Amino acid sequence: MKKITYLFYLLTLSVFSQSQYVYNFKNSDSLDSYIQKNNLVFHPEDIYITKDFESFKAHTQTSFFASPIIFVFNKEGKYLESIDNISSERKLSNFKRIRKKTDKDQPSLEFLTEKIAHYNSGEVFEDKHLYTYTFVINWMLVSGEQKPIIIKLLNEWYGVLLRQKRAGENIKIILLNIDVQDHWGLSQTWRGYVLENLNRSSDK
Amino acid sequence: MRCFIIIITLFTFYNSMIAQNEAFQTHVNILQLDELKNKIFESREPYKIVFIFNQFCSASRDVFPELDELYKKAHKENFELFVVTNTKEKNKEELEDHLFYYGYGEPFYILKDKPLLGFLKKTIQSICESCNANEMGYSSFMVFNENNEVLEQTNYNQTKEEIISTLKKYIQ
Repeated sequence: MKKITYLFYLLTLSVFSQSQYVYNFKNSDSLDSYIQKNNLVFHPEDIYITKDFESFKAHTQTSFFASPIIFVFNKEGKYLESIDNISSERKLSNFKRIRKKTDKDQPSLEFLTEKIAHYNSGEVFEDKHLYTYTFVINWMLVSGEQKPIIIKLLNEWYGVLLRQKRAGENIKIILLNIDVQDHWGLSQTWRGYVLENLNRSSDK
Repeated sequence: MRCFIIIITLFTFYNSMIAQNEAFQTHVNILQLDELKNKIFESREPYKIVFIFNQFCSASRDVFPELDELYKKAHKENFELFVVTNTKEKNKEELEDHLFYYGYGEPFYILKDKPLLGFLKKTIQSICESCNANEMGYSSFMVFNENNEVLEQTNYNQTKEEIISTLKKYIQ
């Protein structure tokens, strides 16, 4: 029964997940290697992953499960808006243009942060409401013809946010890798189930 | 000797930390066309590059990242770059946001007396009488030597690779 319930979760994966993305299990080495090979300018301290399979399941049931995209939260951890490649230049270069009104229909930052951990140390993230804005950049280890465009976009987003930080903006950047992770410790059978269903879902 | 090496290492590390944490700044200047011409022609640099830019033109957006890469790596000892944009004075903030987003720190120039029509042709002809402005577009550029003689004039028929290869000769 438990298996059926899990399968149901996976089969009903959000339509927001990337089309034609081939899921595969990742770990901190594969993330490091991808970052290095593709010249991603990511600082290791900002990189996070989903901490366990339960968290991943919960994440996939929300509109936060998409990539590449940025979710913006205010100091209280309330959701403000999402930023994509169309709006990123205007909004990330000038925070005056970020929506001020909170969206009560969306989960708060805490919903996300309680499900994530640092990709290397495994340390959990605790939102202490210290930052004016928190930017969560969702990303995946994309391959194929879209890869150069997505890599360029991720570098632009992270680069401009780093410039904002250096200019004195009190912000937190979370580079959230939303791939499935080795360290969840799923059995081979489970890994097979998960991949089969995720990949079937992303083909739709 | 060991002490000297340690001091040098610490100094280098300190400098690189400062460079990494330095706040990025855009450089957008607003002036009259005549003031810009004076600035270009009074510059004593061996090479003066005047690049025509339009924030919304795909050719500019295509070429500029590579120009920026060259500019960032350059020693900047024998050239001066003037990026002349068709941006209106009232849209300065929008241009600054664009430059901030991409991390472009080059000196940009907005013309206070930007002509209502024919910005490209009128501006180019005013800066370079001998240049064929009809052949030039956004992302074209001119290079003058220290005696203000024209060394290069690119045109819109040139490929991006040709444009970058010409820029490489001067941006060093």
